[in-house]
Amino acid sequence: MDHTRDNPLKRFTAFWIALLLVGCFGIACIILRPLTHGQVDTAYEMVSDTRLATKSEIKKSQAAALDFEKLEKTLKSAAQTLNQAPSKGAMPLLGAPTK
Amino acid sequence: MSETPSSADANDIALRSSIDRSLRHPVMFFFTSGALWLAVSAVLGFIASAKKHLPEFLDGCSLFDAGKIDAAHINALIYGWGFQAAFGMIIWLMARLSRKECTSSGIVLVAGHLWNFAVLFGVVGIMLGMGTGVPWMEFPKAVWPVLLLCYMLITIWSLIQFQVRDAGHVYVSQWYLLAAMLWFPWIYMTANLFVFVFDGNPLMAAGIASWFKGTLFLLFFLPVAVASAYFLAPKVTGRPVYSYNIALFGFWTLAVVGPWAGMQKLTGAPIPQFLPYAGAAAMVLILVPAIAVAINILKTVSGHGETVTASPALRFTAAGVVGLLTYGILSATTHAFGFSLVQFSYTDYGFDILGLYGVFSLCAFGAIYFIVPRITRREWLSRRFISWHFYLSLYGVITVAISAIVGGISQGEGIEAWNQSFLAGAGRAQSYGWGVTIAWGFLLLSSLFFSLHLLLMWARLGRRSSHPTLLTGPHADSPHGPEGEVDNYGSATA
Repeated sequence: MDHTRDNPLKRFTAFWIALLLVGCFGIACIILRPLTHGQVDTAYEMVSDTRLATKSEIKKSQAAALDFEKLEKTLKSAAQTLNQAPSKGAMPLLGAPTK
Repeated sequence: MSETPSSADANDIALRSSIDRSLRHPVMFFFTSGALWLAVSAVLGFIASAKKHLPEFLDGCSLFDAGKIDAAHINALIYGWGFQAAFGMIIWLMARLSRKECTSSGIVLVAGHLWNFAVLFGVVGIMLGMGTGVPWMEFPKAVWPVLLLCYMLITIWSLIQFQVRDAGHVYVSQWYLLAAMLWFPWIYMTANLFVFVFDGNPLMAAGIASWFKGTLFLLFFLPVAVASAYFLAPKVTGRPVYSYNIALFGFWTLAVVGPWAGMQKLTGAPIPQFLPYAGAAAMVLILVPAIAVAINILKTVSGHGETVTASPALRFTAAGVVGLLTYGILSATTHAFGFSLVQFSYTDYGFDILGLYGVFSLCAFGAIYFIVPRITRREWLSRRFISWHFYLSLYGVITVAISAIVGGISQGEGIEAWNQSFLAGAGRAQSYGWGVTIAWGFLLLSSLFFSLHLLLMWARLGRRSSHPTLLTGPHADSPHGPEGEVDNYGSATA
């Protein structure tokens, strides 16, 4: 063994040089990052304002158009009809359970 | 045989023996676990290929969805088999060429186990739907820092060995090993940081992912394979490397050309125009280092036909070098004359497997057949197992490459035909898909022979003999002399 080339100090130095050599790739990437990090406009974000405005408009108009009292009444009467036993000769209701 | 080795020879034999002993456990661990991952990858490759032409095959289980199984197969092949075989080769070759024992085999072994757990987590993660979908980086995002850490813990000792080597000659193999050891962290760290960590432009992230896929073979697996070939060809034939100038030329052309490859896959994408052209030019120019390496290795072994036939290490290595030449020729031809036919077709897979299996794996098998008897102090049990492994591997990889490349070109013609539907193009590749599936069956069988043989060797059940297992003729006719006990092993392999 050539002790001028291989000794604990030389190995210790070689370890850190190797680590630094590999680490410098990561450091280079971090330095380069601002150069590649441009303003990114995704199509999703670009149209999102218009899309959200349309969505809230639709929600508002739907809420305005919906009469909950009338809807409840209709639902109740429909439920009553469905619960009634069919009279003789009546046509079967669509979706009603068969016997 | 009756010559008494000089004191210098005896010291040399003792040094090599101590290097082998210091690396026995980590190297055998990497080779055997790599071989088992190769078998897993072959099973996944068989299923993935079958699903391309038989979509209903195993369609009841979401784990085997086409996209998942394809990614799991290629990642198991790369990170399970490829890297572990490369680790075994790097740490053994660098220790032997630097003439330094490994003083950190425990850390290497622990890092090797951690690497295996990370790969297992990654493959299972892909199959459970947690993959990233980025080619060759499909493992869940948490895996890459672990793999990088393990890589450092495994290879840093080889870098130290190189730094503290005795003054004198630096071998060709050492150039390639050193380059591969440094190139991989560069490309892996850059690709993962820019794709997964930094929120840069997504188009450039796609470009960088494509660059990583192109360079991983050229800047890591190829240099390791070439390093092994440059070590084994002179070692087994007993001749010096044919030309150091050609070796130097081949190394620097690879270093200059290799980093440009990859982005040709994005031709037509809205990225700077020169990048795909530079990638395609690199894939054409890769023929130059391929020719340089092939000429040098084949000229080194020329005139030793019998040795190439008889030695498992040299036979696999020569096949790998011919595979490299084929890779270079096919790459130059398709990228220069018909790139539009291969850009979106099955051909890419053919090139991936030709590179990873037809070049790297064949050279790695050659290295393993050379290294394992030296570190286990046992000879391979069965030359039939080795022969079966060789022929099944060779025919398997040739069939995969031909089926995928020719089928892909035919598919590309179908896609290019404006008066046909896109599906008609895919239909053209269907029959070739059967070829790929059958070939993965061959490769699975070959990897089972190999894994079993390797496990028996690790259990030290190999032959106690100083007589290498040769592929031709009964062992008694070997030029290595009569059978002897393992005690005179050192002089027989000096």
